[in-house]
Amino acid sequence: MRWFLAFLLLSAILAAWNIEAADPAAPLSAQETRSAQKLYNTKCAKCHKFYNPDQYSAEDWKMWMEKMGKKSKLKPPQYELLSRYLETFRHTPSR
Amino acid sequence: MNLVARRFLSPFCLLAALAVSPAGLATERLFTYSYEPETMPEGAMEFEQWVTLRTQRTKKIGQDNYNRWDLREELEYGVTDNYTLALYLNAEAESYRNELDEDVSDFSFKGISLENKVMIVNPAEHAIGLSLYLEPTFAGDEAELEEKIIIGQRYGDWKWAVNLSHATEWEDNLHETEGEFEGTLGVARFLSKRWALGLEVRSLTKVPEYEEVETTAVFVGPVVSYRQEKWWGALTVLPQVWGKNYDGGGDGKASLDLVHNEKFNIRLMLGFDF
Repeated sequence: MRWFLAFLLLSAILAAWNIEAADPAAPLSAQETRSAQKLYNTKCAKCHKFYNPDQYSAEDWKMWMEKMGKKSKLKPPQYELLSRYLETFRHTPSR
Repeated sequence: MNLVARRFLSPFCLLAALAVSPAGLATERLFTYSYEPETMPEGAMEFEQWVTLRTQRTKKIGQDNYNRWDLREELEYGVTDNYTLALYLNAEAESYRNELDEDVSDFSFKGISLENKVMIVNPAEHAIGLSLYLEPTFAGDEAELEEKIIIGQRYGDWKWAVNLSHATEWEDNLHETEGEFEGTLGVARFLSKRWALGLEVRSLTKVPEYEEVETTAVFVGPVVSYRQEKWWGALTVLPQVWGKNYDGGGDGKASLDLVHNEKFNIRLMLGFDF
C-alpha cells in the first residue's frame, strides 16, 4: 500500500512537472528549440520572412498567430510550441 | 533568449525592421509561368482558376485574328508539408479567320492532369530551394508527361524562381510525339503587404518526334500579383520578343515566330483557400 501511495505521489509530482513544462512562459529546452526551429522553417519561413513579435502588441501578435496557424494547418501542440518559441524574440534587440 | 534560437534567427531579425504584418502562404503565387519551390502545408487545400490568352498569329498561315483561351481549374492539396498533389481540368477555346475569310472556332475539353510536386530542399533552410515536379495529362487521344526542376529563393521582399521543364506530348491517337523544352525565370518584389511586381522570362522550344527543332520563342514581360487572406491573383503579360521558325514556314517576321507561337501570351491566375 505504501508503495502504491508513493507511486501516486511520484505520479502527481511528475504530472505537476509536465504542467509546469507546458507553461507558455517556461523557457524552451534545447530539444524543444530544435523542434521549434524545424517547425518554423517548415510552416513559416518557407513562405514568408521573419516577423518579430517585438514589433506587435501582444493582442495583434496573438491575432496573427491564430490566423497564420489556421492557414498553415498547425496542430495544437505545434501552435503552442511555435508560440513559445517566437515569444523568445519579444523584448530582444531586433537589429 | 535561448542562444540557439538567437543564432538561428539573427539574419531574419535584420529583415524584420520593415515588418508590417504577416501574410503569405506557399500557395500564393508571385508568378504565373514559373512555379516556386515551396509546397503547401499538410492538410491545406486550394482552388485555382487559370485563364491563358494566346493571341495574334500571322495571317500568312491562315490564322488571322488568332485567339486561343486555355482554361484550367485546379484543386490543390497538401498531402504532407513537402508533397503537394493537384488535379486539373483542362479546356481550350480557339478562334481565327482562315485563308477563305471564314471564321473558325472550336471549344474542346483537353483532359485531366495530375500534378505531383515534391520539395527536396526547403528554401528556408538552405541557400536555394529545390522541388521536383511531375504532371501527367490524359485526354483520350492525346497525352502528355511534364517534368520540372524548380529552384528559387526569397530575400526579404525579393523572390526569384527558375523552372527547367521537359514535356513529351503524344497526339493523333498517341501516334505522334513531340518534345517540348521550356525554361522560365521569375523575379518579383513585394511593394506592400498585398502587392508584388516583377518580371517573367519564358523560353519554349518544340522538337517533333525528337528529330529536328521546329521552333524556339522567347517571351519577356511583367507580372503583378495581389493577395488577400483568403484569395490571391497574379497576372502576366508576355509579348514574344524573339522567335525562330526552323521548319521554313513563312510568317513574314524575321525576329518572331508567329506560325507556332503567338505574339502575346497573357495569363491570369486566381487562387482561393479553403
